[in-house]
Amino acid sequence: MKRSKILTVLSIVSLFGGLFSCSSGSNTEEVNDIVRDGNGSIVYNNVELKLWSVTTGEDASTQDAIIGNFNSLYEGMIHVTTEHISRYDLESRLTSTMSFDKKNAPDALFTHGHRTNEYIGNEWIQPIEDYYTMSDTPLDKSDFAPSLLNTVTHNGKMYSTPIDVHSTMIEIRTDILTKNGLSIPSNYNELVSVCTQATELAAKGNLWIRGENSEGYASDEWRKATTAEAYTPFPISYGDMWVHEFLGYTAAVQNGGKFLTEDGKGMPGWNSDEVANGLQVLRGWIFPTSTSKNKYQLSLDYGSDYDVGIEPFKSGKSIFKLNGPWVYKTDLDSFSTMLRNDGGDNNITTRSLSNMLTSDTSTEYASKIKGEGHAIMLMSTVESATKKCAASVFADYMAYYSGIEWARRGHIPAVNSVLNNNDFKGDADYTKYIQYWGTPNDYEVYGPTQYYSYIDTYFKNSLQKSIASQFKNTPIKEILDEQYKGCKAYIELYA
Amino acid sequence: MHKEETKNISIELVARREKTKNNLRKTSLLGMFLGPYGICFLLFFAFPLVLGIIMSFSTFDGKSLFPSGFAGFDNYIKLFTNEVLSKDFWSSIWNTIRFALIIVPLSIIIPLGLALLTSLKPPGYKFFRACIYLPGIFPLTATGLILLKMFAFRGGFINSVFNISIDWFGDVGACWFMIGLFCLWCGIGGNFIILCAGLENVDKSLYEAVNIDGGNKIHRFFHVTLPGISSQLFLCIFTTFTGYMNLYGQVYILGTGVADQDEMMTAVYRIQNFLLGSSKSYGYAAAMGICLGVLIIIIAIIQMVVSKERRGNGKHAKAFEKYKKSK
Repeated sequence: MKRSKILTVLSIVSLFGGLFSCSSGSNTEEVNDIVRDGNGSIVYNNVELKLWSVTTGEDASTQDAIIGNFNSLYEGMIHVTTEHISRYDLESRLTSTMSFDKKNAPDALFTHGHRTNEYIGNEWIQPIEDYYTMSDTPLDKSDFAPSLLNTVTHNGKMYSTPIDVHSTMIEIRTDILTKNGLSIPSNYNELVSVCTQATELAAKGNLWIRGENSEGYASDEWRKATTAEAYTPFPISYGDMWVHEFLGYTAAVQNGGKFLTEDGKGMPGWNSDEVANGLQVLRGWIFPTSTSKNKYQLSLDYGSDYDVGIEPFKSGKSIFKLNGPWVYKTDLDSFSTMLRNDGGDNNITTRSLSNMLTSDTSTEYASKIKGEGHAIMLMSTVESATKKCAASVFADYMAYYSGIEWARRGHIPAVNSVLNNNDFKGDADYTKYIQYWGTPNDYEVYGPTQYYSYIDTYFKNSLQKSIASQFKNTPIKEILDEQYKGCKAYIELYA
Repeated sequence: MHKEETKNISIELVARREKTKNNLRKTSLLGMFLGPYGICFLLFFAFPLVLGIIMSFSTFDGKSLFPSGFAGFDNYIKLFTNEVLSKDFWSSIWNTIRFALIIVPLSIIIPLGLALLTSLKPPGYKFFRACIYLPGIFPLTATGLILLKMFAFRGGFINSVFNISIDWFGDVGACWFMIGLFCLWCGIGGNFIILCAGLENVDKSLYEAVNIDGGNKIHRFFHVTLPGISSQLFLCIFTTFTGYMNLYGQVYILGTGVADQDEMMTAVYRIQNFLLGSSKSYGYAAAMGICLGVLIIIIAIIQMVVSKERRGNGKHAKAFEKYKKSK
């Protein structure tokens, strides 16, 4: 009996000891296996790079084609094998792999650049910048959009290579605007004016609309909008991904708000009057008051519903909708079919959110758009210096040669030189729609912070509460302060 | 003499060998039957439990899933003293208990009523019995998605048909109502089957005895049916209660659209949120898990004590013994 008790105690102690001794150590040592040829260039002899990419669906297919081109170009030298993992699974896969199974960790990651500092904190990645120099790959940091470069930089070193940036964008029914003598708005004041005119025309039974309907009209047949309910030209809801991922942040930024404090500590900085003003624009969008710029509702209260713009936009019950730029091509195809007898996809166009959420467009930040950028990261598990150099060559290729194919999927190149390239600008799709999504310099992404997950989650909570009907009488600053308190408390708890 | 001694020894040896063989056979048979369960028990219950306890006394650095240091009772102390941590955790416990207090009685009364109805064996009762159990075998996610579409705020089937405007998944109260409905829809089947089986086993002669004594239907129900299925009722209450104290999936599927997420947090949902992202929060999550476990055990013990008293605790048998002795 005594012996069994001793054994039990011993096994628990050994379990404790085992667990504590299993804690991950520091980064792996570098193996200098670089071989150079007579010209001093690195010899890449069938270097295999394993890449985990956050892209899925059609994005994944496009990326596979781009990487296929890279593999052909570097045949016999560098070969990249890609595994696509959705954004919802990537974090947990990384956590478990980097804790238990480092041998099967990828060599490189293609994911959102604003995660860089969290990953540095976890010791998952190493600076890619050093290997640009070692592999003689030219690196012109000034070519990258400042916001995108800033988020991947730590202690002055570039840890990941920014590839692109994207946000949500506005789709516009130009056929309805033209038919009713209205024009495409280029800023918030114009947007409100167009919406007001459309709502008033509809109330008088004079607004022409067309599209899919169950009233017996053909899709391309013009009909008058019903007067039975108010016309709301621009549906949004707090349950909509476009709203809580991009619109709220953009409203905050265009009204002078900041995501983080300016002391460089990476703490939340969104509990300000400027951010409250930005969110007030969105609250007024659904629940207009005497102080709102818009007299009428721009959107019905859709509550927790999501993808609320799709149906009204197709049926003509709205003129604007938010969407991901990566599905714009699909929408163009859909309108090509629906209105094939009368202009097809020329009946819609797109604009970025630039200047669309502030009434004061004279400020330097009025044109800013909240974006998310992809970046290529080099995992800390890679030991071979040759492999690290190969990763930098691959990252450079992706930044400079993903080109128009990647942009068609809504991903604006992170480097200005690509955007200013004649081949890029001369492309028909660039003229048709990509040009309206602006340049990478228009986009504002999260600055470097180790606390991204908390800061982002609590801001989204603030946004959702700010435009939810249950909280419409609660001052927005009060909501922001309450959420900020919780966010800061958690950050301090783990500091 | 020498020959006989040798013979005795060999008999003894054979007997001993036979005994050892039998013992071995018995042990290996026991091992064969208990082994798979034993391994699973150790792997999926004992090990996680010990690991959870260890984790609750540890700190984590966010770089690894393994503990980085020993925290003592610090994680537990913070659960009670840290303003934000204690508020978030205990409010989620309160949300869970409030929901359990409403849903557990409903999860017993509704299947009991249905079981009583089917025990009358009306025409087609087997079909109805299957229909009542059927929702329970569909995946939660599939049923949840159907509910989300049917009860959508704008353009949802229910709001359109009844011409109402309720944000079933945006308003806190409405959303909890939907979660309750979801739980009942998918969850009553199990209790229904158990109670049906219990009703089948109630001694029919007791009903006749009540009739002879002039009892009515209410007397039959309270004095024969209910005591007759008390074991099944206890099992249903116990498993339903512990199940709903661990409520997570239903809230995750239906409740993420509510703007005020704090109002939708159950204890396990909160713990699950702590486990996402960096491992820095694992110590607190483990401490929360242990606290929740202890709380469930305490409530279950109270429940057992109360129901033991209700079920008589052998008092009738003891009284009868006493009566016999006195004679």
